Amino acid sequence: MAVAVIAQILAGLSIVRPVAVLDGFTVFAGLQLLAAFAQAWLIQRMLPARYREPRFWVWLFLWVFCTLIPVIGGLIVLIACLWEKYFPARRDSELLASVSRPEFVTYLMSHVSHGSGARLQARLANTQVPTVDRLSALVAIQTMPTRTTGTLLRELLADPIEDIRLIAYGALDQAENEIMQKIYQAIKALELCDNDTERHELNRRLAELHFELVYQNLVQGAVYKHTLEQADRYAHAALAASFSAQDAALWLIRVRVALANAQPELAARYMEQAQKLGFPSERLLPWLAEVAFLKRDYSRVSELLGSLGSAALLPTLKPAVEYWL
Amino acid sequence: MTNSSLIRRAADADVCLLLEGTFPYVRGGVSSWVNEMIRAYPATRFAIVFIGSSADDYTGAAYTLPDNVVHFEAHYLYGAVQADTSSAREIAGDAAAFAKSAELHQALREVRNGVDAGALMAELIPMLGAQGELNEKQFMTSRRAWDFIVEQYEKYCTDPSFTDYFWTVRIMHKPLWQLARVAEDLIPARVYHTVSTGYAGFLGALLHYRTGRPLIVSEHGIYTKERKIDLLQSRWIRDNRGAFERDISRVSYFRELWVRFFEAIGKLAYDAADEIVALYEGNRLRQIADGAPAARTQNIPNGIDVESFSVLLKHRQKRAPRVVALVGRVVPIKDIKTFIRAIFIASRSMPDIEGWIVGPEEENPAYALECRALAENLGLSANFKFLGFQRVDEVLPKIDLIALTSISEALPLAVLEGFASGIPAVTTDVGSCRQLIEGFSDEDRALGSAGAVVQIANPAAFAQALLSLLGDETRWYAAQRTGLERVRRYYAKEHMIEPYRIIYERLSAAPDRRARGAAARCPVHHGQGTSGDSVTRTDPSLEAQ
Repeated sequence: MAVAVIAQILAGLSIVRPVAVLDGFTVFAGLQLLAAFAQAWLIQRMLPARYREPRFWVWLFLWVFCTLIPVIGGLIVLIACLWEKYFPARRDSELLASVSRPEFVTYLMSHVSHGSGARLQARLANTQVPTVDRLSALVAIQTMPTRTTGTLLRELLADPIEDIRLIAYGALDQAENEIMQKIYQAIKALELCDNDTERHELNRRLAELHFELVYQNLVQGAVYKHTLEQADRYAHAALAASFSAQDAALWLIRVRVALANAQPELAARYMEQAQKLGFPSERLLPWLAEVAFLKRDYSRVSELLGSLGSAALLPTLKPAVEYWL
Repeated sequence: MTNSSLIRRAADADVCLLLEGTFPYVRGGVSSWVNEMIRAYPATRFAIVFIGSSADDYTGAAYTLPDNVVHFEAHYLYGAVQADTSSAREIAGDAAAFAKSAELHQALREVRNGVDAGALMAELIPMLGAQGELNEKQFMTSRRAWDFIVEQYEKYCTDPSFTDYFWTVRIMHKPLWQLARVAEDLIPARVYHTVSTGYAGFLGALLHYRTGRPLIVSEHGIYTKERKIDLLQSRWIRDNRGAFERDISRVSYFRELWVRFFEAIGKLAYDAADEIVALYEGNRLRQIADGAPAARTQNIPNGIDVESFSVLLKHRQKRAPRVVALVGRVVPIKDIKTFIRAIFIASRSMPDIEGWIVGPEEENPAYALECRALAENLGLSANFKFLGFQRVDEVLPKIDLIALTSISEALPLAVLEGFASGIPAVTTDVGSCRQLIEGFSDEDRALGSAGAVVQIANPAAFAQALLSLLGDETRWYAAQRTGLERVRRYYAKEHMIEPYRIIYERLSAAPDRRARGAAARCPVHHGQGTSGDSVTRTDPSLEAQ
C-alpha cells in the first residue's frame, strides 16, 4: 500500500515539479506505471472474491485502468464492485439460469444391463439371491408407486435379512408419512377454518387423503377399518355443505369406501347419486362391475365389463376384463 | 462446549473413550451404558472425546460427568465453516505420498474381499499431520489430488456428473483431517476405547497407530449397518444417470460410494482394534462379516443392577394387568406409531387397556408431534398417555407389560430393567430381543418365555401378543418368573463390569506396540489377538457363569 501511495504522490509531483534533466512526461509515465502496478496488486486483493478471477486478466485490467486514470481509476473499480456486492441490482434475467446442453455419456453404456428391472420383484422374493443384489433391487423399487409394491414390501418385513427388513420398513414408513403429514396439516387448517367453502375443500381433501392410505395398502386390520370410517366421515362432512351436494366426485369416494367395506348396496346407492350429478357412466362401469361381483351377480359382471370400450381399458384392468369376457 | 460442568482438563488418562453422538449430550441406551461403565470403575481416570456433527445439535449435557472423568473435549465435524471460502493456490503434491494413498484406496476397494488395509493405514497416519506429505492442504489444493480424483472418476464412476463426484469425494474426506488434528493434540492414554466404528472408530485407529497404545471397539448397534440403511433410503444423494445410462437394478454410484466409505473406515477400526466387543452373538457375526478378525471378537452383554430393580417388585400392587408401557425415546427408530396402533387395536377387545410412552420427546419434536396427532386421530385420548422422561423407579411398579416396537435394537436396557422389576415384555424380533424373551443357550431356553416376540411394524400381531399376555394371568406370572430369573442369571451388572475390568487391566499393562521387537516396525496386528490370550466367547450364557 505504501508503495502505491508513494509512487502515486511522486507521479503527481513529477508533473507539478518536473525534473529538469529528464523529459517530464517520461518520468510521469514511468512513475504512474509503477504506482498503477502497486495499486492493481492492492485493489485486486480488496475486491469481492468473485471479481478476483481470472487472476492475471483482472490484475492486467486494473493496471491499465489505474495507469490511464490516475488516482481514482482503481477506486472507481473497487467501489463499483463493492456496490454490486452489497447492493446487487434485481434483474428479471437473473430469475432465469442457463444450463448446459444434456450430454449423452457413452462410456456409461458399457455398465448398463437393460431389462434387469423386470426381474426386480423375483430377485427380492428369492432369499437365495445374494443380499447385495436383493438390496439393490429393493432400493430400485422404492421409486415405484407404493400401491404396486406395498404388498411385497410388507412381506419383506419378515425377511431373514435385517437390512432388507429395515429398508422395506423405511419405504412403507416414508410413503405413509407423506400422506400423514398432509392429513395433520389439513386437520390443523380445518380447526382454524371459518368459512364454508374452505371447510368443504378441507373435508374433501381429508376424505381423499384417508382413502389414499387405504388405496396404497398402507393400513391394515382395525386401523384399515378406522381409516375407511374417517374417509367416509370427512366425505359426508364435505357433502353437508349445501353447495357441495352437487359434487359427484365426492360421491365416488363414498362409493369406493363402501366397496372397501364390502357394502355393495350402499355403494350402488352412492353411485346412482354420482350418476345423477353427471359423473360419466363409462368411468363408473368398473365400480358397477365390482358391485355386481360382491352381490354374486356374475353374469352382470360380464355384461358390464363387456360394455367397456377396449380403447378405454387401462393396462391393469385389461386382464380382469379378458377373464370375464 | 456449552456447559461449564463439562470443562475437564488433564495431562493424561487411563482410558480414553471415543464417543460419537452419544454421552453426555444425548439420552439413550448407549449413553446410559457409558455412564454406568465410567461409574463402575471409580479408580480409573477417563478422558472423553465427543464427536458430533455440528455444535447446534448438542446444546446442553443430558448427563453429569462422573468425578473420574478427568478430561473432556468435544469436536464437531460439520461446523459453520464452509469449504473453500478463501482462494487457494495450486501446489504440486508429493508423488510418493499420493502413490501410497492410491495403494490404500485400492486396498479399501477390496475390503469386502477381506483385504487388510491396516498396514497401509499405519504408514499413512504420520503423513496426515499438519506438516505431513498428505496434509489437508495437499488434499484440497494439490495437482496430484486433482489428478487422482479425475483418474478415479474416469475409471470407476458410473454417474455422469463429475461435479457431484468431485464434491462428494471432498466432503466425504474432509472430516478425516480434522480427526487427524484431534489425534495429534489429544492427551496420552493407556487404552483407547471407542463405542462405535464410524468417525469415532477412525479416530481410534489413528490414535492406536500414532501412539502404539491398544484400542477397544465396543458396538451396541452396528454403525456401518445403520449408516448403510440410512444411505440406501436417503433422498439427498443424487443420481444423475439418464434413461439410457441407468441400470435400475444397480444402486446409484454416490450412494454406493458413501456406503463403501463407511465400510472402509469401519474396517480400519476393526483392523486396529485389540478387542472387538459385541453385545450379543448376532452382532458379533455381523462384525466378522464386516471384516472384524474373528479371533479378536467377543460378546459382553449389557448388564443392570438387578438388586436395585428387584426392590421395585415389592411396590407392585396385585391387580389385573392392563398398563403397557414403551420405555424409550420418542424417535422413529422406536416405531412409536406401531405401538400406538397396537394399543388402538387392543383397545377394541380390552377397552380399559392403557398405553404409556415413558421417554423424552426433545430429540425429535416433529416425530413426537406426529405420534401425538396419530393417537388423537385414532381417538385414543382415554387409553393413551405421553408421560415424558420419568424416573424408572417411580414408574416401573405401575407398569404391567413392557412394549418394545423398535425396528432396530441391540440389547435393550428397558427390557432388562423391566424383567428385573417383574415385568414381562412384548418386543419386535430385532437385535437380541428373541434371545432375551426366549433364551439363548439350552439352559437359558429351559427357563421358558418372558413374554412374546413379533415381527416388526405389525400392529395387529403386536396387539394380539399384548392381549394374550394381559388376558392370561397364569401366563403373565410365568413370564414374570422367567424374566426375573433370566436377568439375574445372565444380565446382572457384574457380568458386564468384570470382563471389561479384565480387558482394561490387561491392555493398560501391555507395552507400547512399537516397542515390541519385530512389531516395532509394524504397528499392525498379525494373526491372532495381540496378547495371544484373546478368547472368542460366543455364548453370553457362558460369559455369565
